[in-house]
Amino acid sequence: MSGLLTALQSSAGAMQAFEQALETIGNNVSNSSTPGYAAQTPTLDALPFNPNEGLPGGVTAGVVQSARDEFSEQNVRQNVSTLGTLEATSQNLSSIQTGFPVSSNSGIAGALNSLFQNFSAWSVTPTSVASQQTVIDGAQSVAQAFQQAYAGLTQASNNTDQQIQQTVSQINGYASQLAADNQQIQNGDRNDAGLDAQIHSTLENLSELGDITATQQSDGSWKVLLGGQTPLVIGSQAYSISISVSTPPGAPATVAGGNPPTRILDFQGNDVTANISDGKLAGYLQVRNNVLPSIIGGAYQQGSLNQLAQGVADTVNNLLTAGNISNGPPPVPGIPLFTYNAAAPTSVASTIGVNSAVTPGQLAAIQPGPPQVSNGIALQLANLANPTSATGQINGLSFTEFYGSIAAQVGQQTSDAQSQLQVQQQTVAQAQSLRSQISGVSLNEEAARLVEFQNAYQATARTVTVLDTLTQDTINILPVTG
Amino acid sequence: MIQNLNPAASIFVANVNQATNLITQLTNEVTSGLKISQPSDDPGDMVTLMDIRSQIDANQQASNNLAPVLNNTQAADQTLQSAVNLVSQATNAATQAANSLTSASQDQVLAQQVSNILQQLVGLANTQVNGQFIFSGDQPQSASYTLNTASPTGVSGLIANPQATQQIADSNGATFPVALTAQQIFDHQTGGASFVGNAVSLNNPAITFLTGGTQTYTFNYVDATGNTQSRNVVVNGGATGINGTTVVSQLNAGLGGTGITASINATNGTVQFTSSGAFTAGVAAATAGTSTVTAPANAVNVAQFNVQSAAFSGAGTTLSGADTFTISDGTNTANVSLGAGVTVATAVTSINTALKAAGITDVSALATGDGTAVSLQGAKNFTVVDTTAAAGGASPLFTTAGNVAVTAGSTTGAAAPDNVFAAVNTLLVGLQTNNQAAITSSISSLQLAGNYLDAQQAFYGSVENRVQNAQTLASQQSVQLQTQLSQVQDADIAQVAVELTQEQTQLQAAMTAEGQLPRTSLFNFLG
Repeated sequence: MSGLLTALQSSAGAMQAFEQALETIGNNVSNSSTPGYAAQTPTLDALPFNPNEGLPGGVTAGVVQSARDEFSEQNVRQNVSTLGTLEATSQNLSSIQTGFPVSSNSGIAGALNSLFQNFSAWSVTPTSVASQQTVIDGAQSVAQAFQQAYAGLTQASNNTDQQIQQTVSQINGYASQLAADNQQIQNGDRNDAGLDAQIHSTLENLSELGDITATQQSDGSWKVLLGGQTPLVIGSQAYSISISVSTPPGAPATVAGGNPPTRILDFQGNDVTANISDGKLAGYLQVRNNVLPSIIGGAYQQGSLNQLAQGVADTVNNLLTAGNISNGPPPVPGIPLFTYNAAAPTSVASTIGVNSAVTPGQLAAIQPGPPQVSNGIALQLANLANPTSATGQINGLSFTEFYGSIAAQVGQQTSDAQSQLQVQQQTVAQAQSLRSQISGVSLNEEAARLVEFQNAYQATARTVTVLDTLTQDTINILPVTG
Repeated sequence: MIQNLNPAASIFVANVNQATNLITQLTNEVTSGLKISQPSDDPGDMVTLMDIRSQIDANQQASNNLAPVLNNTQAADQTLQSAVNLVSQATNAATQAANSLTSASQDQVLAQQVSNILQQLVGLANTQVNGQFIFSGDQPQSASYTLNTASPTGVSGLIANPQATQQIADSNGATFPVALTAQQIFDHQTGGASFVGNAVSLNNPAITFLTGGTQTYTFNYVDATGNTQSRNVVVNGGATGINGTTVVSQLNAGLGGTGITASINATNGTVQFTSSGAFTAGVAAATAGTSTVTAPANAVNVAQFNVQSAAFSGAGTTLSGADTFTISDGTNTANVSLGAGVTVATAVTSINTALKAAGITDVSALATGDGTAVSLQGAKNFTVVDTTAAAGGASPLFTTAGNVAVTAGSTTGAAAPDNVFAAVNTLLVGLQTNNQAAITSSISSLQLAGNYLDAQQAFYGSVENRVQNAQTLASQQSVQLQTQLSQVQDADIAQVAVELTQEQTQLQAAMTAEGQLPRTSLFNFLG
């Protein structure tokens, strides 16, 4: 009789273990689409069984094992970081390159070509007021084209600054969330699969923004570093990063009036910009501190657009001032056509304009010589379209070619980013697929396991029924008294 | 993000995105016809693309510029043909008038005809095309000539210092002159030099010069080998004196071999000299009798581009202080340094040595006629920059007020033998005065003038050829550049269409395959 009762007790324990296993399976199925969730595997531990010594055997629920694989997690995070970089650069560079129209004769190149055509037409009728006015109008268009391009790129720089600010805020938000999660872990929720899923989801979101290094500490909490060095989360403490638009103390600006770079500071105010090499933040910083300054200038360089604007203005002005408006006597020398703020080399493209003192009669077409040529200056100006000497060239390129080289620089970077982005999207998908294969929830597996435990549960229940019958039979053997 | 979905789904999405992006790009190429619509489409060809577009625009404008020039050139050609015809008519009139059988009244009729011819020639000199005077050179808004019966040539120039320096550029940037001035065509001037301040008229037969005396003329000139030479010519009045014609005859006799010719200025009667080369002239006071020139006086060949230095003011006509200057013909530059105490002759030698060393062959230095200064003369324009003056030197040789650079001025001279206006006017005056000798002599002048007009017409013929060649070049380059642009910029529609179809097919197949993947799991089969 005691054996039957022991067997009943053992069966009841088994049913309890199977119930826990079924709960785990149910949880897996429920979280099959939950971000960051890793499949949990129920385990069963056999109990000692030796009837001779009174050990009834049976089964009990073991530790629920997580399918989480930190190597595949780290692999996904690294690739997501790179994807973030490429998404940020690709998106911003695509926007920037719209400021360099090349599909038609528009923008700066179109305005320059029109101006050179105006110079050429003026050379045929150098004393014509209409031709001279056309030249002035063409110069005005060139100035406006430069101003518009500069304004567009400056707006892009400002937009990128906003994106950097938003990204930093998001990073700090995720860091705070992770610090709170760490607090829960330290409070005893270390084996909480839901919390674990939440932490890994946050880490992956964070990795898209910056190149983070996440390591689990002995107490189960996560330590997160940005750029391998800058602490974001240690234990239950979050460390905020911040932004400074300024030149570093040890590297003062070398170009007057240049827009200073955007720098990332750690919680102690140290410049950690150089350590951030991946993630959207790195992409935005690359565009903000390298790409755009190379075009519109910054604290350390004039910028190719300003270089082009100054080259055009100086060359045209030098030719005109070397010429004569009239032979006199006395000869009347030419005056500059373009003006710009020479004190701010990085603002040439934004300040370039047409000299307000210039009227049609004040354009100097006469090349004094010897030999004197009445339209010599106009011819030289027209020749700027295809210069054969250093006059009218920048780095060996004509002005329109130099503009093309700026567009090519932006285009190449955009093309590279877009190509790499497509490849990286595949890489991330593969990394995520690999991780899913390792730690994702397989509904088929869960269904099979469900059937397995269901059968086990039913068999145990049947065993209990049989034992109950036997127990009743045994009880019925006993004489009824009274 | 970790998505516990079918692992293949995310890869499928990535592949579909890639295919969709490619289809979008191909669709853009098909619809726009361009394979480059933004810099990232082909960064490597951006510089080339910009260069080709710039060349196309420049070539188009160069082509546009040539059309009005050709129009003007053809108009000028036709005008000169008309002028040749008019001169021919004048020659016929002169020939007819030279016939001894013509009466005075017939001469007057002919005179009226010739007057009309002169008037028509002036009209041709003032030919306008599209409101521009095509023979007014650099001042196309102004007429060049007007009739003036008081002038020896019968006309007066309306433009001071007329020049036609405008050039046109072909598609390669090569430039060439396109026009001549009316002065160059109808009022040909030859080199000449007159004594400054001279008021002695030699064409008054009532005056006898140098009775019992002599007068010495000094000429400095450049010989055929390019060396500076000097020639003194003594005009001798003899015991009874000589008239102006004899003065000129003696001068020309003494100037033999120099290339310099003496003559009497038709306007004011003073002695004048002409030469195709550089020269200066000076004259000393007459020893006795009436001087042929208001002496002392200097003359330079103003038919040359010329600049004269300040006088050497040091003791013994030497340079009072060191002076440094450069002479540039636009291509080469000669640097000259003269020390204090240098004589004019030494200075001339030093300057010419420096000019030859610098490869400047069109400019020469000569002592002025009175030997007190240096005259720089050139067949082409040149510039002198006195760096001593720039540095505030004490005695700069070449300065003008407020400037340190002196550019040689324009050339002027006397009417050449083939001067069209002068030839016709000489005939006109001869007819009006019934001067048979003048009428006869005008025939040769008119023939020379006709030949000269032919030569000027040839200039326009050559310009017309060059313009037409430039138009051909522009047309050829246009085709070539458009071809290059197409190769760089245009999409190969056929190929792109094929790629687009392939990509669409692949995308559709991928979609279909994905749609046919089983969506069931084991759960679907559980009871």
